Amino acid sequence: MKIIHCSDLHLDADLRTKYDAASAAERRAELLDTFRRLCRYAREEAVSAVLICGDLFDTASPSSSAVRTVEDLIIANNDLLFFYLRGNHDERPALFRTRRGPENLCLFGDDWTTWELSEDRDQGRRICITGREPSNAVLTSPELDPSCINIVMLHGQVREGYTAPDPESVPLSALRGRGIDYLALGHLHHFRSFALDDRGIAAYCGCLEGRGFDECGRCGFILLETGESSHSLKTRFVPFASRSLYSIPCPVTGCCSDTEVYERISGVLEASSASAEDLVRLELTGELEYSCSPDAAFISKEWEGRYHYFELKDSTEPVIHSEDFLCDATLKGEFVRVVNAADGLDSRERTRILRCGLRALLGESLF
Amino acid sequence: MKLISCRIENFGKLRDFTYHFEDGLSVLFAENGWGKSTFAAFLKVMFYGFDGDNRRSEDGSERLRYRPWGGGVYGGSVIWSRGDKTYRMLRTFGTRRKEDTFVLYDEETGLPSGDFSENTGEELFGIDRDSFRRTVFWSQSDHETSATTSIQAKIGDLSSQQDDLPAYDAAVKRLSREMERLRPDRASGLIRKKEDRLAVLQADEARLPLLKAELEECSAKERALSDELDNIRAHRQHYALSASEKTSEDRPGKDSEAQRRLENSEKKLAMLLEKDRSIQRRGQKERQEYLRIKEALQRELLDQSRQREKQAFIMRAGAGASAALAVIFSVLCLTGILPAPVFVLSLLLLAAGAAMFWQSGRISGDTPETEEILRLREEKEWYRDSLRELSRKMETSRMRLREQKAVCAALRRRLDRTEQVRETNVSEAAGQISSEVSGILREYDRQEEDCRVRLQEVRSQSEELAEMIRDCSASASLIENLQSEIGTLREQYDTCVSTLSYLEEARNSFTSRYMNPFLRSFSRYYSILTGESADAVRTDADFSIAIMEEGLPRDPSLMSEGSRDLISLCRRMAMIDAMYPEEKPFLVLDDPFSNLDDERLKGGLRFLHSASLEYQIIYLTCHKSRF
Repeated sequence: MKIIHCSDLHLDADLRTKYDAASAAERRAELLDTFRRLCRYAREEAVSAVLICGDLFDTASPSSSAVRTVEDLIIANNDLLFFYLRGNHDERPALFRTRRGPENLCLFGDDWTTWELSEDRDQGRRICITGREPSNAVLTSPELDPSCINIVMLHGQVREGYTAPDPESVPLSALRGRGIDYLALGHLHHFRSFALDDRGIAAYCGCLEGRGFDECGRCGFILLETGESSHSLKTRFVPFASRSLYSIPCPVTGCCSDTEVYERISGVLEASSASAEDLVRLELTGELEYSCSPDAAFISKEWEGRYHYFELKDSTEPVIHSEDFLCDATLKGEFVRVVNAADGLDSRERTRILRCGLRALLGESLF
Repeated sequence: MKLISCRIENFGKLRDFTYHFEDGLSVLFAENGWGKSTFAAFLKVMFYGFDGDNRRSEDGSERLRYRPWGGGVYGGSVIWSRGDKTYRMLRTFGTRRKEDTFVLYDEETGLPSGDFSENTGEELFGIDRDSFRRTVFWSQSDHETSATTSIQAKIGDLSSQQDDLPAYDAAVKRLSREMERLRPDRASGLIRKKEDRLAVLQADEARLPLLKAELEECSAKERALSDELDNIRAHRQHYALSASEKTSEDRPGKDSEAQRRLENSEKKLAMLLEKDRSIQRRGQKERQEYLRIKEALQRELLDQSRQREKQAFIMRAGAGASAALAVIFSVLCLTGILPAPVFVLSLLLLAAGAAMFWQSGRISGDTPETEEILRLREEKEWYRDSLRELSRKMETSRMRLREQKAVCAALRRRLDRTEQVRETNVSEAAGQISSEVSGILREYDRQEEDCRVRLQEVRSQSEELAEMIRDCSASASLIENLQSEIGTLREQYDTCVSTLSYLEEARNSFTSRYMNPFLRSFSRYYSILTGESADAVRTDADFSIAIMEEGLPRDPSLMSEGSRDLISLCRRMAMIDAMYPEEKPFLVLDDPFSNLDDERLKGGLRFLHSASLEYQIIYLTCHKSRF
């Protein structure tokens, strides 16, 4: 039997912090399409169940059109069982057409709920899916039948030891030694897998499709397969996102002119593996001479056509060699001396003032 | 720099005028209206061109104002020296600037010189026209002496780095513009606009808990209404089912006696039918047997007949043969072929033949039947009798059946009639019950519809609230970025403010290096002109002057005209001293002491004599006392 473990789809996210209204709508449609592709994949690969470990929607009040689309996809794939555990974002039940949603949708609640997937009773391989949604109540240990293949679904940040009740915490101590074969986790947006105890493993599948630059790298789901022996589960991460996000640092220390900076940018971007389908953030890092001020608008215009999305982040620190102005008899020199001699300025403030003043005297843009 | 001589062809009221300058003090004394100011203007125009060339009126345009009254060549020439070179500069002026001509000759060689362009004044003095008027050139109508950037730069001796102070002006403008753009205390400032926007977003965010609470309420209402709807439906269904069962139970019972009689009658009928069937079966069976026997009998008879026929035929054939033989023999005997005894044989044969023929007749006649035939006949007779008997029984049975059926039918009809009457009564009762049930069911339907409408209203409200929550959440998601942006802008604004302050400080510090010589010069000239010390004089990096009186700086613009002119002159001279530490320019002073009283006039004259030791001064005045 094959089972898909996915989470944090964040469908119907607003996205207007990054995109204009039209592009945001387009990207939202892409996120929905990723879910559609997931269902198609599940059909083609004869997957039996899809586990959605939280944050299917980005908000507690997704639009009815997004909910209908998801509901229709679930209904259209009625050979598949969908197990939907809400997370900290989609904390409110989605407004399906009927109270409990489609027939092949299995929901959970504030208490532990168990659903059974019977693969082959003759072989004694019953598969149980148990889950509990985030709640303010303490996370008790689930009551599991050790003879089953136990898959437990939770959404939150794993913590060692027993923690105070917190909807976003998953205390591992309450879960170890309980007969869990696979702890399917959601909440973190990067893939991570680790041993839970002698019997089972835990894994975050990460988000299915990245939205922000804190979700760079591969995004996808985990495919589980029941093995030959009664409790073995093979797991494999499957990259699935239609677009990847890249945050590319571009050190510009040593560049003495804007042209050199542009050349450095070109070199870094050409060498990266980002493609036209991807989202790219270029981050200028290092120290930059005060006389250098790369034109952000020019850089963006130059590169934004080559990627689905491009943004520039300037994290450079201006560098001013005050010692070069010690014997400078000009007004610039006088200015540097005056600022350096001023009291009550911290180093960042001092550097900002120096850069601003020198650039003003040079006739360059101030910031 | 020295003026050697000049020749005016035509300039204003002056025409065909030549003047030779002295090395030190050149005094041009003439009455009012002679054209002293015109002469001074000529000198300025020869080096710097006309003021207000774009203006159309005489007041605004020197070109128009000094157009020769009597026509002729508008222009003249000046011979001047710088260092060890002497130049002759010729200019003529047209109605427009592009009609002007300029020629510079090296006075020694007589050849044209390219040492200076038509912007001679700026190249020679190193300052612009405005600065020239504030320093080297004193005109009666313009006593402005504030230091321009050009003057400051000159004072700073930054001819090679002259861009610094102009760059300072530009930098200050840029910073001021940026500060104006960002100003947090003005509605038009970007920071203020962003903060206003932030306030709107934060207000949206503040609404979220309330909206979520309202949505939660709506959800609870929705769940309650959904449950209510399910309940109504369940109750309706339950009621409908109960009503249907109750209606069945309440029907009055059928006529049981008549039913019993009918049942008994039908039982009897069934028995008669069974009996009838039994008779029929037996009859069929026996008929079949009868037919079989009949067939067998027929076969036997046929066989026997055939036997008989065969025997008869044989007999007849024998008889025939005998007769034939008898005849033959008789003939033969008669014919004598055969002996006469053969005739007896023939008679015997004839007799035998006759006997056989008679025997054959007997065979064909009544021949006793065989035992089998007899048996079959008997059996056949038995079955026939039996069949007759059965037929009779069947007839009887049928008759009884008919009778019994008639009885049953009569009983049934009676029962039906009774039932009809009873059913009619029941229907009437049921009709009454049905209308009551319908009424109640309609009430359930009404409640269901009402509940559905309310549920739909709550769902619409939920949708609206969800939409508002999404919009507010979207606003909330923009807050962090906007706050960060505002923080950056505020930081930029503060940086601009600080930078402006430090830049100004740097400029003051920068120019203060050249202020001391200025102050010293000012003090010297002040002492010469006033006879007093300049301890109370204060200056700044703009070379503005303030006189301290009773501990407070007094703006010279508030002083008398004479005092102002005096300070103005000191300031000019101090600036000129600072601007030209090496090669001194010539000075043109058009009656600078006209506002001084007699006491101060003495100081003025002292100044002239003192300054002329250092500078070539072209001094114009209309009053003898002033020179």
